[in-house]
Amino acid sequence: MTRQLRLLRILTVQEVRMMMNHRGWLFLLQVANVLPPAIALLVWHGAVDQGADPPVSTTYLTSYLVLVSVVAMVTSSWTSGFLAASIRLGGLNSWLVRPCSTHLSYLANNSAEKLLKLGLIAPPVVVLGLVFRHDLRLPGEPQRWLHFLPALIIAAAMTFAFDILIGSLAFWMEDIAAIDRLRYLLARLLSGGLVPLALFPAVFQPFLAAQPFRFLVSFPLEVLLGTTHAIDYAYQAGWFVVLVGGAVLVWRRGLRDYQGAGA
Amino acid sequence: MRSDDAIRATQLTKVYKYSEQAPGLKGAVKGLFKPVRRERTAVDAVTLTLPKGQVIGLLGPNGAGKTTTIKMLCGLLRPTGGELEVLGHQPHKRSFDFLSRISVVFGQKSMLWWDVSTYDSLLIHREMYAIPRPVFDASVAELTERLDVAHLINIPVRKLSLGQRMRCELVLALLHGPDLLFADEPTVGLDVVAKLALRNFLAELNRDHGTTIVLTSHDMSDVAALCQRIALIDHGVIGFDGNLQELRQRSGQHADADLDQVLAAMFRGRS
Ligand SMILES: Nc1ncnc2c1ncn2[C@@H]1O[C@H](COP(=O)(O)OP(=O)(O)OP(=O)(O)O)[C@@H](O)[C@H]1O
Ligand SMILES: [Mg+2]
Repeated sequence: MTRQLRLLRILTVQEVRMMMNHRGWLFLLQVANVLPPAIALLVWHGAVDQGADPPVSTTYLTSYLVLVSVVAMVTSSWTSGFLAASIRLGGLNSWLVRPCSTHLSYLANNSAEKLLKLGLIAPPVVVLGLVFRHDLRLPGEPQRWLHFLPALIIAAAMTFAFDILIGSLAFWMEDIAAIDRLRYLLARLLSGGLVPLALFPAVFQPFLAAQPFRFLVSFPLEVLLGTTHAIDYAYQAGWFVVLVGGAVLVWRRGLRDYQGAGA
Repeated sequence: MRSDDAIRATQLTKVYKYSEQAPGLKGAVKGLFKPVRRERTAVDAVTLTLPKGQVIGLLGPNGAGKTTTIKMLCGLLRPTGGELEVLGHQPHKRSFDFLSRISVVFGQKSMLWWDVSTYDSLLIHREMYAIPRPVFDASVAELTERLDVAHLINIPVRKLSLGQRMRCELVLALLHGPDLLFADEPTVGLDVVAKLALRNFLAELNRDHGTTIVLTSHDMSDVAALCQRIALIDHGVIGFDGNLQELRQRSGQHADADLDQVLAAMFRGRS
């Protein structure tokens, strides 16, 4: 276990060093991530000024949209495509013959990316927060933040597991891009990353509350802003088990059928 | 069971399953609804025992099943049939003990991280194999000296030439002092000087550390210089297993025929 942790640390440091070469590109990416919620904020403020009556308060909406890009970034993962390519083209071979899980290297890669991006996304988010400072209410109780952190980490772990699950389909499928795309579109819509789920019509709310994508982005923010119910934690635990268990299962089955292409 | 065997394979078999696709869009659509499933037996009931400390050369024409055999021996592929024990382990279980006692060098595939220097990759392997600092320093010193790469290990790997990189690959592969080394065409694409250096290095490794080596190469002079034992594989079957002299006799060529001719005669005889 300590070997794995030391390994994770050195791999992460290495990834950070390699990614530093692309920091300009990463920064633009972060600006692009902050833009959609910023535009959504402008639109909503315009609509409210015109007399629209959203089902949540303006302060909730503002706080949510200011913070959502950070949460969406922290809970994102870009592993599925890399994993699929490594299975299909045999890059996985280099990992399987060494005493180090390939997932540890992807975890390092994701952690490094988060570390760098956190620094890069902070300035545009702070600017956004300053622009809308009159409607921004960040919770003062440390309690909320203490609950927010594990929810955030669990959400990131779930996205990572989801990525391994989908990437591992490459053990049997030539091309997972279509499935990955579909998942991405569903996630955009249903995770609350683009539009807060509270803004959807009331008839959809029971469905929206129970579906897995909610727990990838929206849920940690709901915890922070104090709008969750006890049952939500049960949903979260359930989906966590499904995603992580599914990833482990699919990966193990896949390794059995692995053809080890190349060389 | 004799514990001084590095490899014991009985009736080892690998059947690849794949689907065939006719060219073009028509083929793609057809493949979607009525895939043509095929099977190919790449390794067919191979039985082989390798004592510790031996150097064996797997020879055979393209597509004979050499790489597939190595991939099963190092745990990459799960055998379809037969029994396999390598260093007392079932390779496909990929236990830490097994993986930390073997090493694999694929001539066509790099284990080094390309964006950083070889030394950075070595540092990662130090953690991966939990090598104590003094052992690490001593290994790096010995390997870089023997392979003459001390001046190369701080350069980003993508800036090295093929021959330079290959020598660095070996430093990385041998850092943890494996008991068993698999080398699949390690000399492919190397110039004569590099090839000789690598060959000498492997011979020394076997002599000084007793490392067991399984080697494949299409270069007969590599094999002649290194391998005490040769196994000829064709269509997934071992047709000959013995030393160089026996191979010459078996081929029916003159005593002074060159090795390529000897081998070509053997392969013609089988097909
Ligand atoms: N992933 C795969 N799926 C289907 N068939 C495969 C796969 N990999 C290899 N084969 C087939 O198995 C046979 C043995 O291949 P292998 O790579 O073991 O040959 P080899 O002896 O290493 O050849 P070479 O000298 O060209 O490297 C070949 O006929 C090859 O086409
Ligand atoms: Mg081969």
